[in-house]
Amino acid sequence: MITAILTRVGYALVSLFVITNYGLLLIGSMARISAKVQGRVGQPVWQPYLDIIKSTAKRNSISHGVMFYLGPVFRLAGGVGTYLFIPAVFGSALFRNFSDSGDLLLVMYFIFFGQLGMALGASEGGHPYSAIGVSRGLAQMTAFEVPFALSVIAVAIQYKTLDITAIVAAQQGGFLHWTVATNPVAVVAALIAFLGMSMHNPFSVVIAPQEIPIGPPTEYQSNLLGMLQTNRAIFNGAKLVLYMNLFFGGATSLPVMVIKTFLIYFINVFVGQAFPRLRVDQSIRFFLGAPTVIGVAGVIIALL
Amino acid sequence: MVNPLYLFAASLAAAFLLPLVDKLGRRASLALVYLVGLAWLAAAVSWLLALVQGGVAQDFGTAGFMAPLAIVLRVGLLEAAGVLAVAAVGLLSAAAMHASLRQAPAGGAMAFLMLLMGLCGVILTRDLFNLFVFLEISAIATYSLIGFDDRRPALRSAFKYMLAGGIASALYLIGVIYVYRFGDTLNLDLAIRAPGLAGAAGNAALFFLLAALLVELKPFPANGWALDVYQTAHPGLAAMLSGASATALLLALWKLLPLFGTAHLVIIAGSGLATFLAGNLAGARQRYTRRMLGYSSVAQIGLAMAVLALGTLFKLGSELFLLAVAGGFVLNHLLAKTGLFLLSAAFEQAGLTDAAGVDGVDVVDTVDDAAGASAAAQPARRLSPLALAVAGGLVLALVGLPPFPGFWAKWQLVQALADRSRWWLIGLILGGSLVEAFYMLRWLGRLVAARGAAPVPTLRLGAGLLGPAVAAVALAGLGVLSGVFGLTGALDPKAGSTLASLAGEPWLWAPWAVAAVLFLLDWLPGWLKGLLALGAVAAFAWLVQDRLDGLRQIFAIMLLGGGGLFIVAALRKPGSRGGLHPLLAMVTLSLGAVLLAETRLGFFFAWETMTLSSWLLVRRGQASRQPALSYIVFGLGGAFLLMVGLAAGGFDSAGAWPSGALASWPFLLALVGILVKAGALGLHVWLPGAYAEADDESSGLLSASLSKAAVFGLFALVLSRGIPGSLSISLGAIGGPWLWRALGWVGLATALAGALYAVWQEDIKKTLAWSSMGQIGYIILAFALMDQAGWTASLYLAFNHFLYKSMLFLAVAGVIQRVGTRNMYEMGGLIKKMPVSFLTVLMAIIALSGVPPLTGFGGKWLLYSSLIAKGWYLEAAVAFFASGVAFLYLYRLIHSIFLGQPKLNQSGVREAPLALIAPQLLLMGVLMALSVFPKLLLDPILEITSRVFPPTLGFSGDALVSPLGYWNGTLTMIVTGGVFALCLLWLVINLRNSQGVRQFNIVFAGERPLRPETTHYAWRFFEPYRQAVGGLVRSRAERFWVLVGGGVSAVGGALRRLYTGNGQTYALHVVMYVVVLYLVMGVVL
Amino acid sequence: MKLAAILVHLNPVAIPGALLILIGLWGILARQNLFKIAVAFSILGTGVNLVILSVGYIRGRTAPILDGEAAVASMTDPVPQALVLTAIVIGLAVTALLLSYAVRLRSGGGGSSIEVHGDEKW
Repeated sequence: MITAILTRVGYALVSLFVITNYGLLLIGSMARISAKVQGRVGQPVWQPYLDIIKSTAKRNSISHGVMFYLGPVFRLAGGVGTYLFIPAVFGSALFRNFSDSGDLLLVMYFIFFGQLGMALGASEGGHPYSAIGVSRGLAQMTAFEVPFALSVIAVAIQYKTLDITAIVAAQQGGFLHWTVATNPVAVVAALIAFLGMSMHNPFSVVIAPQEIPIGPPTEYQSNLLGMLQTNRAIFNGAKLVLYMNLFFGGATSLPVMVIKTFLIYFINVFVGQAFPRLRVDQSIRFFLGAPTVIGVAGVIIALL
Repeated sequence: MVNPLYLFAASLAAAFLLPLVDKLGRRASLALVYLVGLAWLAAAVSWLLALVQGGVAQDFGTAGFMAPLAIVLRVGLLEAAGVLAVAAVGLLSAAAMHASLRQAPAGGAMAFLMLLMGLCGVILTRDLFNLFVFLEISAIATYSLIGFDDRRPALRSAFKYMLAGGIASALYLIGVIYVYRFGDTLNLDLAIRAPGLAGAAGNAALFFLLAALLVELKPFPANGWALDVYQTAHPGLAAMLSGASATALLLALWKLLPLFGTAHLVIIAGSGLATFLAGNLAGARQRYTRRMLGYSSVAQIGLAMAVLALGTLFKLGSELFLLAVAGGFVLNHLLAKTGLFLLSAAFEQAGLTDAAGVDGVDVVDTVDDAAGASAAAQPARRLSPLALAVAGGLVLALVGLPPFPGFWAKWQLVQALADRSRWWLIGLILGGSLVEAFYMLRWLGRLVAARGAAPVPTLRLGAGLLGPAVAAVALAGLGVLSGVFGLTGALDPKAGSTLASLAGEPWLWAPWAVAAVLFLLDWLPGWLKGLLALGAVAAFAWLVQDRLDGLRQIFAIMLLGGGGLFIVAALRKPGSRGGLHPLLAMVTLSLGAVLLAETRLGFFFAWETMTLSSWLLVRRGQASRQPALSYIVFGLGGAFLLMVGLAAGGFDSAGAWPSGALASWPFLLALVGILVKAGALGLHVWLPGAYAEADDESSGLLSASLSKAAVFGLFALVLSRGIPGSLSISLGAIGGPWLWRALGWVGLATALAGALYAVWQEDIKKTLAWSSMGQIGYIILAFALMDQAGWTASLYLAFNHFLYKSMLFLAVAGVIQRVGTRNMYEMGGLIKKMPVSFLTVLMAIIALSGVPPLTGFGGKWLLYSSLIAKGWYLEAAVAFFASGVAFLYLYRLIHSIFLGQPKLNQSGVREAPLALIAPQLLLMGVLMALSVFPKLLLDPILEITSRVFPPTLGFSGDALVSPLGYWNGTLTMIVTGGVFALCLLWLVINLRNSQGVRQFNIVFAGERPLRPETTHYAWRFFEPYRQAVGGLVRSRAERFWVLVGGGVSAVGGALRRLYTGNGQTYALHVVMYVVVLYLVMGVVL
Repeated sequence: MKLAAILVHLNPVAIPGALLILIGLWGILARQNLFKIAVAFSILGTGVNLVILSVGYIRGRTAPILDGEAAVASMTDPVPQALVLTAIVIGLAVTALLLSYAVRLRSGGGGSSIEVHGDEKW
């Protein structure tokens, strides 16, 4: 019993270590690709490591209160937890994580855990930009969740289950069994939602990275910021793995996972470089428009 | 038995002697008047006693002869009761008019004696011409009494009355002489058998008789004179007219009823119903109290008239049944209206002649805000608790709420009409009742003084309160008796069993008993009352626990447990907090009664008790006048729908729902009735105001517990009592699947609209109110799934909602108490001042939003799993959207209050009082326990739902498994806890040289901010969101109901334009009324 | 049937009674003066009384006074006459009250037209 538990915990830690490093490298490489597109040299691929080390090594940290400290803890726990509830590699005991805690619904809702905690922590900083960022982010979130939920429902209809492992299992046997082949419409809806979820252009007004330091992290510094940067890598990885499992046939080995998630993430960069930014109310109306219709169409196709 | 002739002789003798006796002083002559009244009263009591002990009705001849040679007086049960009522009302009215009678000439006292005697004569005589004589005696006495104390407006009214009365008496004379001509007799009993009256000529003769009586009964539209009299005469006389005269005339009509044929009965019924509706519609527009009471009086008499005729027309039941129902209405109206007019007399005597007011407003003689301006000049006064209780009892009785006689009569009437499928009649009667409830309760609501402002002196009513109090006590006593023994139980023990009563359900009286005791102890300190109330709830729960099955046990925890929590919370403020504890206990126990009810009547009784007591609780709030009014009007409207539904079937074993698709609409009515209480979209307009404006602990009780009574109602509607009989209705029989799908969409729309509205509120309690509405929407949605997973979700969501909404309201009550405002943007940064409240809110919003690992996720998981498994995909998507919207207002709630920049003037704020913190800690503990071990809650729920439906959900180890997926709450909690601990450890290890900073130590727009007001981002928090999706919610329901209300009001406004104030117009109305009736009779014949 | 025959069959007491009733009603509804209304009531009452009498009236019979054995058979019905007496008394009382109220209304400064005494309405 004890051994079994320790083994699972050990496996989970390994899995976590892998996804963290992968996520960091992914961010670094994507930043470099973006730079190339814009005609710049760009940062080195390992820049995210440097950022975290720098943040963590700061001599002192500023505190606004207990909840302010707990914000990054919630955030990181949310990212790690989300990843741990998803089976990362199909059929692998090492990357099975704690996916027996619950099905797809658990993962979808656990995504909120970190976001909510982070929002609360940032709010205690008392900076109005934090609150403005949260209000924009939440508002946009309600909208892109609709096409995402529709595509998940389409998946549930198609495979008659919400168990992620079972969904991956049903997609085995070649490209033509993947959801993207069997129900491309639903996948389109999900991918559009993914753009919003990742807060890249054209849905980046939530964090508005260029003009003002806005969004939850406004007041964070030192190792608190380091935790947020770490989370960004893990959380991104978790979402990519989830998308891969639901729509792209999952992965039977680590290299397959790396390739598939890289390509999924690349869609973000691709769109982000090509489109300008929308206002919050515009993006909300956008998500509740065409993507929602596409999502409904996906559900109907799944029903046929 | 005493020969009534002695009493007539005594009355006449006293009247003639009065001028002589008056020489001894007015005191002596008035004593004589009271003495004669007492003699009538004593005689009536002695007759009643003799008759109840097995005596038979007895005829008394005059001048040594019997009919047909002489006039005969009959003393039967009804006559004795009538004389008793007249004498009692007479004595009370005389007492109210005492001061005036003392000052006016002795003629006033003489006229009063004659009025009393005339009315008794109307009741007793069996001779048609003698009836005319007594009618005229009482009419002339009334004319002179209207003018006796020289009120100028009353003189005008008296003249108008004489015009109408004169025409009526001419009609009566013509009628009586032709009845004599064709029936060859003036004796009523002989005339009934007279063959000559059967033909067309006889019919016409009887018509004139009837028309005269009807005109005296003040039918619409020939009743303008009566309204003016009610408004202008001495209120004591108005009491006499509304109570005694109307009763005597109704008894006269009852006596004559066997004479009449179908055509006559149709006229009576139609005229009565028209009067009932028109009177109430116009009554809703009245500004002056006594004119409003007059309209109500006219309407009630119309209803009693209609019931008398309808009973015979549709054969609603035995004569005894009719007597019981019509008698119930008449008795109810007689006592309530007498009491109210006497109360208005007391107000007048206390010096409130015009727009002066209790509560600084225009209560007493006007009921409209328009008069508020003049009220401001006069010092505000408030009613004493006793006066308020008396007024409340009278109005509630008039409106037909439990436990008063009108409630039982209404139930029996609706039941009888439903048995004969006279749905349109039920609709008319209940519609009119609702309008009447609206304006009477609006008036009552105005009597309640606003608290919190500077203490206002109490209005001294003195002995004037005695009469109303006697009436109220009599009403309550009679009501309880009718409830326990059935309406007729007192009249005839054998027949009592055939009418429904609460004889078998003593527990349903618990709310009333406990409330009565606690109100009597209301002078005790608050903490003691709180303990007593808590003890009462605990004792009730302990005593009834054996009567609860599994479903009811779960609801009992939510309803009774919730009540207990909020009673504890009520200890948060020192002082007596008058009325709060009794009402909290009453609401809680009425919720328990809803669970315990075993019969349809019992359920409805408990439901109305709940509606009523919660309305009183809402009205206790400071600015709750308008919200409380819409709360009770919607509450009663819903209750009426429920009543019709229940009357047609359902609930107890005796009343299965009628099968067949077309027969399902009684079920639909009941369903809609319950949805009103649940606050479903479209029927929710009462909800935000009521939740927001009630006292803070009351709001919590309403939202966390009372809304669950509506949820229980849903379950109780489809399950006959006791689940073990499995699903005892065939679901297909009730409407079919489309009904449940539609109900699901109603729930969904409620959920979405509730969430969206909540996003844009600035008022913290409004946010929570809309949130409650939305969450109930999910519960309805899950219920509508009608399978095991859906019902499991529904019950789980309900329990969870109880937990976190209690926590939220408790925490928010503390915040409001400490901060003194409900606007969120006026708060901020309270986390350091109120850490426990913050923690409560944090846990509650995590549970509400459904974020793992707390209980909320279980609800979301169950909901989506069951929706997708059932194939309700679009519903699932919309539910997902609505759940997302909930994040918006939840974040805003906790951010604007507890986070961000603290306000400088709130630096002295402390943590909430222990009375609020302790329940919060308890609830947090429960929430945590259920989060770690979801089985604790889900096992009992699954146990219930698996007995009703084939199970699809089940536990496998710690994991709950559905056909689609699984959820292991315990493992989720462990993983989350572990990961969180890991991250915390990481933080602590790397935390070096942490430096706390002061409030404004941030850089905002390039400089350090100066004031929290300009830095705390809180006001219009989600403005972009409103721009994007605000179009989804535009208060359509509110506008619709405003239109409905406006329409009803406009009809009333148009109707009352008939009453121009010109006596000749009124006379014309009378003539036209008679002509129209004659034509109608021709059509019916 | 000829007009004359109809007239012969009509009750000679009831017709004037009905006419008086109509005149009285007209007066009540159409005259605005309070006193004239009271007078109209008197006329109405008189008409009603005539109608009552007409019911007891039997053509060709004597007054209902018991002065011999055979008289009962040739008497008119005495009951309506008794009733009329009561009705007259009551009518008197009502008229007196009407007049006294009219006086009080006018002396109160309201004037004697019924139209000005209509403050209570709606």
